[in-house]
Amino acid sequence: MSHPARGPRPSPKGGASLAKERRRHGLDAHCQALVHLYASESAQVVALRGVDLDIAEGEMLALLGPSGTGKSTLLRLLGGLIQPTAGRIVVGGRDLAGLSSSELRLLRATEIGMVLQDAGTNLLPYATGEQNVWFAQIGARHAGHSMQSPVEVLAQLELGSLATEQVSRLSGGDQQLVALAVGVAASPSLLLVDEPTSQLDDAGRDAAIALLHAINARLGSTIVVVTHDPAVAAAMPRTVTIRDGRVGAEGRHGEEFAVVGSDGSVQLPPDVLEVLPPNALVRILRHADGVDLRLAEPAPPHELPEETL
Amino acid sequence: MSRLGRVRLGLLANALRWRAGSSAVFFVVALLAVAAATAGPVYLAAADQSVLSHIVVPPPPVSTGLIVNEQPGQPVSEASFEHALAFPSRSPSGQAFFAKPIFTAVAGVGILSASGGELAVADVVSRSGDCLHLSFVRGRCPRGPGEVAMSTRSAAYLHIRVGSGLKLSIGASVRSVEVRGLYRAGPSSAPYWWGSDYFEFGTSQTPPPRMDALFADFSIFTLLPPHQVALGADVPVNTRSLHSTEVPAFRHLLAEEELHLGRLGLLAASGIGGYLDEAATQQRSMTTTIAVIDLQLLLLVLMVLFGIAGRTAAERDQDLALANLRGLSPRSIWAVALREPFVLIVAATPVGAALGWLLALATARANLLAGTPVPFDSLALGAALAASLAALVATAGGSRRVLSPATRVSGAARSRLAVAMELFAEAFVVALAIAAVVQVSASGVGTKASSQPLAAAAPGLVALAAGVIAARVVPTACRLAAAAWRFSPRVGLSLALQRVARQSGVIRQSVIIAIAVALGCFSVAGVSIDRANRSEEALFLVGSNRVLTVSVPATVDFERAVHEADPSGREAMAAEVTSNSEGTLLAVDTSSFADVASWPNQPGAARPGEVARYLTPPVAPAVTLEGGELRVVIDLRAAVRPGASLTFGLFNEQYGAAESVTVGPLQLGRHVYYTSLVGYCVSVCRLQSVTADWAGTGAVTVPVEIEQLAVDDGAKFAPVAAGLSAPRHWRVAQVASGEPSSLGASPSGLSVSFRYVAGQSPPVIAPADVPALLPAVVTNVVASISQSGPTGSTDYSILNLDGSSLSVNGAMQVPAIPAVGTNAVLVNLTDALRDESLPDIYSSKQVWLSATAGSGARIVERLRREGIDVLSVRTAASMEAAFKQDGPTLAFGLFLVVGAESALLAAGSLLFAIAADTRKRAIEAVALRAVGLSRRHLVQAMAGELGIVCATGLGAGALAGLAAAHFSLPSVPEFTGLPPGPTLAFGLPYAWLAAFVAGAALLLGLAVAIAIAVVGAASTPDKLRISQR
Repeated sequence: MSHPARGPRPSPKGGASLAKERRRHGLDAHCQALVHLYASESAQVVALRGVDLDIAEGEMLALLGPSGTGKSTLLRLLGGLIQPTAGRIVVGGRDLAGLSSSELRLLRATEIGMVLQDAGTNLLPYATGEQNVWFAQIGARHAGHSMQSPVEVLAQLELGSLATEQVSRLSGGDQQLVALAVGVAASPSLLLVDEPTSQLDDAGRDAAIALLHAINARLGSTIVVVTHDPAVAAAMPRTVTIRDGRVGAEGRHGEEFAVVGSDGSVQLPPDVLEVLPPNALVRILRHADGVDLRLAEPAPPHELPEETL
Repeated sequence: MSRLGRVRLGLLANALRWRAGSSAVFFVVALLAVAAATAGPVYLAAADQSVLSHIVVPPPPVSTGLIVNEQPGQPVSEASFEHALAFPSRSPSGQAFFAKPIFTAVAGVGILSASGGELAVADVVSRSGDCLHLSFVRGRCPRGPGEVAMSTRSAAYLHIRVGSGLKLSIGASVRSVEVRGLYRAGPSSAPYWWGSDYFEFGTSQTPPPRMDALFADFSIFTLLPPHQVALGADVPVNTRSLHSTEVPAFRHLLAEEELHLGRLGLLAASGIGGYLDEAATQQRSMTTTIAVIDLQLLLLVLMVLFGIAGRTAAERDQDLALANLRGLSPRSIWAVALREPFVLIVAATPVGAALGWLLALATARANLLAGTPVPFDSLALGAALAASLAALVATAGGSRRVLSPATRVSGAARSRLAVAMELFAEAFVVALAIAAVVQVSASGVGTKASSQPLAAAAPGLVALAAGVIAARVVPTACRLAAAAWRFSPRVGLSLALQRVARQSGVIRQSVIIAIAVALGCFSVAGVSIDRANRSEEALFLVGSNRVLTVSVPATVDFERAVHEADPSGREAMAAEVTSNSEGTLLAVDTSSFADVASWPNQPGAARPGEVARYLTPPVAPAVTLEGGELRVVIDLRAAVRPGASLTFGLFNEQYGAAESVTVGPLQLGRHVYYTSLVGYCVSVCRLQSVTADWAGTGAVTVPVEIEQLAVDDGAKFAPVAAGLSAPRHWRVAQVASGEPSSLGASPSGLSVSFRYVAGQSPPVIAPADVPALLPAVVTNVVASISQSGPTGSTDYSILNLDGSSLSVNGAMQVPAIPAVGTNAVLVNLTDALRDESLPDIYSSKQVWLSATAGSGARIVERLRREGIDVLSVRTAASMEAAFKQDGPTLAFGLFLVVGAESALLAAGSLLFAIAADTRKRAIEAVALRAVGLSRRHLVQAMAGELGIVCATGLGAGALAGLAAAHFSLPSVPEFTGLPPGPTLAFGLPYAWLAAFVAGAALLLGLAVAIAIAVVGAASTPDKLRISQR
């Protein structure tokens, strides 16, 4: 299955001009047959096994799924922190595989904001909120971009009270909020956030969700959030569930759909798998409203109908 | 400052605060690096000045000043002379270097009687400021051209009073002057007189007698013919204010002025050049040694800094990861990684420079001449900045491992490259150390001629090599041991072995410990050996612990007086020294020599007791005569025509005069002969010889038996103990060629057959109270230049204490003789005195005191009672103190400071390395406790691991230090610059070394204990959770 209209666009300007390009709106991102392997001493571990995903400009999307299914890996790939084993990632029309390390750094400095899991890993513990934001702006400033002052960034996100506090003294919730502020310090067009609410209570979670919406609303940034939190997922207009390294399902405004992969495969939801267990033979019945899958009794090979999968 | 600027600074300040512990350690080490680099140049500048002052200030002005005189036969007018000598005041540098000239005008005059006869001669002298340096007893200093001042003794001799007139003859003219003052003569040795003796009363050998100088005003010379007046000027050099940095300018000015004065027809000379050359030689040697010593400390500090930088960089891993995440450029990532250490280094630079200065100041106060300025000059500033730069480079190098992944350098490729580079560097260091040791040991051991300032680099180099080898070998050994102990119940030891085997970074600490311990051992050995040799050398140069130069009245038997002052003979020794152009003769009382004199080990030198025995062969007692008349009983056995007579050679001990009395002509048969001793022997005479005189022609034998010698003691004739019945107490002193006289015993006395050959020296016999040929210890120089006999002969002819010729047998040769040096002869004082034939007025009488005599006050008091006064004192202690101011010694003194600093640095480095790993170790400890290991096992494991590291460092360092000391100390300028003398002893001071190593072990043990306590305190799950960010 192919989606020419949503495919990667060629970069008209090339990486060298990235520094001078300033976007007001979000970046689109496209993953095509994305495969990523982690090499360990004994064997290779497949983190992603052919992910196809299109994210539109200014979209807010939550990546869901059980632990170890490759959500965080996908986020790092989108951020250009690691290179995929196979497949393509196109962000804002630029194929990340074609960018040099300095172009990737520039992309991260100016257009892609990342907030990693655990707020502490995003922050200099000894620094204040203001200093952390300034630190995150260094790359963009060196690239010649005009930046809001750190205090203004925090104030816009209604975090001004945290500007002068050393982050190691803040609560987990406040640290998470400052981490989000640091993520958007350089006004990125694409914000990638990993588990923003994992250590927060309900109030903190709500504040973080509100902040993400505020960022999206004010900056027009495309936001991709990896989360286990159903509340976060519910707050996102689009969710993508990753299962076994593939896109397993997609939710739009609370309704969940199976997704047909580029190779025609469809991941069945767990409840359906109870009816159609692995290796079961099903009949695909087409009708006017769509397609039905029906469990079929196995028949001698020569009697199998053509539609049998 | 903008808000963003404040944010940036605030971030840096917060980062430094956050990592306060490691920042503080880093700051201290950076500070030490700068201090180490700065202290050397500061100390060097001060030591340079100290050496210069030590060499040029003590000599009298005459030795260092500029002496200007007219050229012979080319008189210069007084005005021209004065104008030529105005150069010190012509330029500021001249004023700084030279004091005001002291002008002198001298004219020789005769002092005439009223009748015009010449009563005496004297010099008329005018010398700038002479009135201030003459002690006037009567009258005043002359002021006008017709006035003079005369010494009291001259005035007494000439019966002159203040106000008396004098007629002076100058050439053909006569001038009348008035004596306006009487001064007390002397001392001519006062510095003001610049070595000129104007107090020469009674020194004339021939009439007319010489008087002390007549001092007058310069205006008197207007009355005298100019060609009769000798003009001179002494220009003192301000040696006290001469700065070492000004020496080239001073030399230039001096040379210019000497040239200028020469062009004006004047002779100008100064001896200061030799002193400045000596200072420059010492300064050059000192500069290299201090640079080498300081460089080793600096390199050690930089190594520590390198290690600390690596460990503190790991603490900034999070910052670097964030910088990478936020897309910072490589340059910005470097800035993030290095801004803190760089700021600390920059901050440490002025503080370190100040600390270095203080360190140098303290060392200078302890070692250098009092009052030596300790400047912080441009060289010190440059060293501080260079050290900062080196620290920055070391820090960047130490941080490279952390920076590499962040800057996306391939870890694997770099690792292989790094391993290869490391192996190459280690191999290079080991090869360099071996080459250096071979070179230094080949050039230095056993010689004093080869000086190698770079030998001081041996400990650092050898320790580095030893540490590198140990750091390679010990992990392998631990790996093997760990495999063998795998199932041992000693879990702690097994864990320790495994950790050392696995963690290369841990054992690397031993390299730093090794270098520090080696530096310490080398410095302890060097200082101890230096002190021992310096003490020995000082004793040797002085002669004994204390040497008193004394004046002995003519009536006092010097040797006997010293014996009576020290009846034990173990504390005081009489000695006499005389020097001439051929060398120096030292005559000592051999009965006290072994106990009192310094007689160190030298090539070819026997033990002092053996030397004393060698110098004192058995001789007969002296034959002394004390009385008014001599009676001799002689039996002439055969008639001799014309009649022969016997002349008795006597030596008047009191006046040092040789006399003779004659008996005869001898009659056939036994007769008693008398001769008066009045006028010959005032008190005691020593019989030196008996000579047969015969006035005939041809040859004759005069057979006599000398049966008795007796002297009239005022009441009766008392026999003299002359050993006439023992022929061995007599010897044939002079024989006619080919026909010797013979000696024999007879029942009644000494039987002698004098064989007389006309035209040859008469036959002589003498009491055998002096060896025919005095045994002597001669120096190699004397042996090489004074050999008078046939090749291979050890017979030498030297000048005795009285200036007469003395034949000695120098069978014993040594490089140098205590107190008198390399061109000298040592003989027995008693024998030398018995061989005298002239008044002994030139020799210097000395009393040598041993260490047991202390200050010798008791002995001095007893000598004083005998009328013996002490003129001057030389002590080994003061000589040793003077040695301490030699350039190489001063340079070596810095080593001890470096050794102590290194040991502290090593302990601090170890402590920091462990502290930096605290969290990692704590996690490991918690995990091991979780699987059931007891706390005791964990403590044992850590103690064992660190014990292996410390023991490796201590062992490698101690061995390296000992090896370096053994091989390279003989080449250190400190030891090579000494004159011939005692054989230098390079035996290692094992007790001191053991004490140092024990101290270092204690220090390291303390660091280990602290580290174990810190890790133990952090090794609880709760603590780990709290510290988790």
